Amino acid sequence: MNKAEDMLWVSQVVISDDRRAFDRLVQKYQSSIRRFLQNLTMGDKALSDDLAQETFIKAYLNIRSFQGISAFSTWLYRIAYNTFYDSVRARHIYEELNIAEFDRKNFTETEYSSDKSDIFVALKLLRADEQAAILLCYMEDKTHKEIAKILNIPLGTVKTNILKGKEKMGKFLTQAGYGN
Amino acid sequence: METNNDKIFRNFFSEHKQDIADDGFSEKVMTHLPERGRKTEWIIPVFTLIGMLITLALVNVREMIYQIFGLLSEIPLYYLIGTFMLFPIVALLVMFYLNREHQLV
Repeated sequence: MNKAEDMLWVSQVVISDDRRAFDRLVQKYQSSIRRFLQNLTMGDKALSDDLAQETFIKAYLNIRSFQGISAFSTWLYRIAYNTFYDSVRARHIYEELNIAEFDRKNFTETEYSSDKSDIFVALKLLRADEQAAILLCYMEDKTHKEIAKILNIPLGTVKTNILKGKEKMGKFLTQAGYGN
Repeated sequence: METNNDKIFRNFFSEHKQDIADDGFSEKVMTHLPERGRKTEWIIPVFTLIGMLITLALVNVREMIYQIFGLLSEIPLYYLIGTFMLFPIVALLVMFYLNREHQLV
């Protein structure tokens, strides 16, 4: 990810409200943001695309508050996670996210999830905060520091969540033959 | 140092990592992008300019400048320096509070 290129596009959006520059940012990050949200919603493509769209609209409206201290992608992931979290809270399904029935219902409905069911079975073993930390670390290749910024939690908590998540998932992965 | 367990995790997630094709997603986002209220931003500079022109037309500019400099010359120099030094501090404070108001995420 080219930080200088991102900053150039962001400044074009801030200074001259250049929608083409914002379009480039959307095209560049749509895949990673949609993938992150698809994994968080256990493969619900329709919901994750709605959340991704909301994420980019929020980013556009608040782009002036982006200070450039962290990478643009980190800032975007943070908006995406907050949008997901707000949606879960609004729909009162936070608790239900870990219920097998809810997960099964979601990841059997989509082409993406049916092909990739192992990842959802593995993620189901984790708590919501552990899922987010593990996904950002191993799927999105974020550093622990970046994850702490995205999830707005202390660095120590990130490390604990990843460690706990790995413990829970490790057994499943070995049994499923991924350790060979 | 990367452990064997780390390698299993990295392999598992890279195996399940996929790039999602755009398929019109970006276009959909761009068509739903709202206006940021820039349509009304021209009002402030335009009316300021009109106000300035009216003022310049109504007053004796040369007399006004003469009076301002006359007034400034009566003020002790260190007062003026102190006043000018306050500008960046006030500007920084205003920027800090405006920035805090706009912090959303």
